[in-house]
Amino acid sequence: MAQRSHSDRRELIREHAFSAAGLTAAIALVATIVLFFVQLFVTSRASRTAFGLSFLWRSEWNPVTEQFAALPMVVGTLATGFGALLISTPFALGIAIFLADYAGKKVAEPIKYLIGLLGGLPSVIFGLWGLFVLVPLVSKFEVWFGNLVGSEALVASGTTGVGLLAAILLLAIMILPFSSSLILESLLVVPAELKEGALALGATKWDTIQSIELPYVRKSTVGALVLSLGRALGETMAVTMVIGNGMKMPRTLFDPGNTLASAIANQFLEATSPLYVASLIELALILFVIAIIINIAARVILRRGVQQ
Amino acid sequence: MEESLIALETQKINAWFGKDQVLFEVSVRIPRQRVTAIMGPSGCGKTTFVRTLNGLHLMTPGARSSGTILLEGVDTSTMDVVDVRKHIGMVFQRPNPFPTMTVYENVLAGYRLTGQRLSREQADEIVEKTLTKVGLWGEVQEKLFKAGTSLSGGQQQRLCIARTIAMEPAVVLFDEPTSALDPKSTAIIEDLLSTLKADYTILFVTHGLQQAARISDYVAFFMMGELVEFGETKRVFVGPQDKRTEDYLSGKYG
Amino acid sequence: MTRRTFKNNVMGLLVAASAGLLIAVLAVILWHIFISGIRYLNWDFFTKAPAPMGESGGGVFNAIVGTFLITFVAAAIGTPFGIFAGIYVSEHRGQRFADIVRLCADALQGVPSIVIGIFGYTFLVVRFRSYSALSASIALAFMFVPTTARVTEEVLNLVPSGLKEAAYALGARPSSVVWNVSIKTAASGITSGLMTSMARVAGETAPLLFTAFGSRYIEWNMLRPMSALPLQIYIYASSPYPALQQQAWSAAFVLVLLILLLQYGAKHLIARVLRVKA
Repeated sequence: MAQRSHSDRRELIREHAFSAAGLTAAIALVATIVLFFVQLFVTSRASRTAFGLSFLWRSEWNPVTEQFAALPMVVGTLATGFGALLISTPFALGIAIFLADYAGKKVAEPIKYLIGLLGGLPSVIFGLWGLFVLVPLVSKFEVWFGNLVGSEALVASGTTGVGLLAAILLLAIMILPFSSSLILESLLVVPAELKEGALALGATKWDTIQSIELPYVRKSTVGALVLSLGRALGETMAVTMVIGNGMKMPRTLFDPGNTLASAIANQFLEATSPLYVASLIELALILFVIAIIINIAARVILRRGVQQ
Repeated sequence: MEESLIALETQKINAWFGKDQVLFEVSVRIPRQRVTAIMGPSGCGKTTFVRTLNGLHLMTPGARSSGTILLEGVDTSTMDVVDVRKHIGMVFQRPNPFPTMTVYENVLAGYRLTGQRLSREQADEIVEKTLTKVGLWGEVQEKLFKAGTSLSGGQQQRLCIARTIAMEPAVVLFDEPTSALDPKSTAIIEDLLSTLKADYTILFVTHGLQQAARISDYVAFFMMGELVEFGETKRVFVGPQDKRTEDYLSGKYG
Repeated sequence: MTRRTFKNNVMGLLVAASAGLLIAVLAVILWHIFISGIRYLNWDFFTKAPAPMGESGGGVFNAIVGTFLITFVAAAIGTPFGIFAGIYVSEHRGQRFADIVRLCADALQGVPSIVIGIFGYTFLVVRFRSYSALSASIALAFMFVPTTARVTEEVLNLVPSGLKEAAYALGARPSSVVWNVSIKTAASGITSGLMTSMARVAGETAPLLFTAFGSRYIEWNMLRPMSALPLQIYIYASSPYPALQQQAWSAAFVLVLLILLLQYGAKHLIARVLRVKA
């Protein structure tokens, strides 16, 4: 017994294979990000040599004259993303607070289930619903609003319903399950003693939420919202189906427009010239970089929020 | 004590978690086929000490240690840690049978986890023999193919003991194995020790003075990461040589 | 009533109203899919390929086949990578590289689906010189891996450390502890995570646009263009023909059913099977 027992060679080989497999998969995951960047960077070369950095701030996108620049899409992306975030955040907070502090288990569990359901619906289904249900409603609203303010220009700019506004509303619905469940998660880790302490001092429920809970989850809520923004900025199919594929710089929310994602989805299969294709790939590159930055930033904020 | 009566010897064991040193120069010789109680106030390093013996303390991130451990005279640092663990079994504070395995599979878990094949007859024999040894055979004979976690807490702990001794280790470490159990189950396990020591060298971590006095032949008293006193149980309890042991035994540390 | 209690009541109403609104919106969307979807459903819809242009009738059997094939092949490619990466991160918890891997998985989960589609086109379709279902599966596998890795890691972290220690104390090696103890204990969590990832991937459209491309025929060959339900919904919805638009609703109904089946049905089934075994 006291001598070193003979180790089974096969056992050791299996051990090495196991750690090699884990390391390979881990490296593959990291390499994927690099691979994406390099691939998009290389294949968008034609566009980068033709337009250089001015691709980012010029506003002409014209397949006929082969002039391409990203600004209208960048504006469209930011407008729809922030617009959706602005509309959905109060509701997301409301839902999360309701589930964390007001609803009993019997009410909260089914609602969480429904949130999961809504969040699991494919983008294209939202697009379908948006196109045939939401867009006609937006169209009616546009006509009514145009007449209300008596703006010929507004009415003329489009009353079809497709455009930035429809995209914003649809996006607001789509990120709601995501942001509300993230905020809920952070609300649930607020220590009960803190809340009970405040309640024992005679604070109302809302006082407690306002003065104890919300400050406690401030950082993680910001992280959750940044993550949701990332989702909204990259959301493709639903936006593609309701935004109207407008190539000009949008002037009002009623105008048709494009986001980076929707421009690619709408135009890639029609792009015939190499420069057109490369320009669309460069849009993808921009979107990729934005998405990576936003996601990493959000994770860092969320992690700090948890540590604090 | 004669050399041949020593199963396990440690020489100047130090251990750290990050920057905190938790064991200081612990040297002790553990007699073969006896129950040695490792006792001391909580946080004195007794659990860390037994975990250094089978290399399990390294599971904690940032943990490291130094010193020599001789198992039957062989320096364990020259051995594969897996072999060390096959010779030094361990029973934990909370009963932890594998929830995905039946009672039967739990007894044989060590063989399965180390990739050792057994014939049906061998397996049946080991299960029956080991469960009989821990006094569980009669109680679970009908439940062999139910989940190990379906047993009562005391039975689960005895199942874990069976799982450990099924591997025929030389030394068995018990890390406060009764602290999560009711008095009746505790008594059964304490009784079991007197039969087990016929075959195994036993180290039994406990913070209960009464328990140490009841079950052990030798006792090692730890405080603040140092081995304060080691000796035959009766001798230490009757006439402690160190002031700190005396204070602890008379209840001065609570 | 003081101002504070008044405010308390009003805010209580408001947060309840936001939850109510969420339920209402979901109900409206599901109601539309159900009502508009079920209206044009018939046996042909499940069993036939699209009718030739200009003829009425036909179905989406080609897309149903495509969705299953593309999704399962994507899962088959992605699962080993995802699970091993998850194991790696969980086993090396607290180490710097593991943290980086986790961060990359999180970041990859946030990569817009259209970017994955473009990547699939430039990296695979251009290389193979043809649209193909296989390139779609590979593209989707890039979405599958990070979600699977994260779920696997999270579920593995929930395995009590006492169980792993017990296995190590018996002389088991790390691979044995992971396979025979951690993975087995976490099996139901991991499978339900895989199902959720599959449900998510099955509903993706953008990565398929420039890879699977779509096909009007019932196609079983992964090296050829193939349709899928989300793709068919998009194409039909964007068409000017009301008959096709109606089929888009029905296809949406089928897709939602399929996703619910994958996500909840399979989850409960698996949970039951595992419980019976245990």
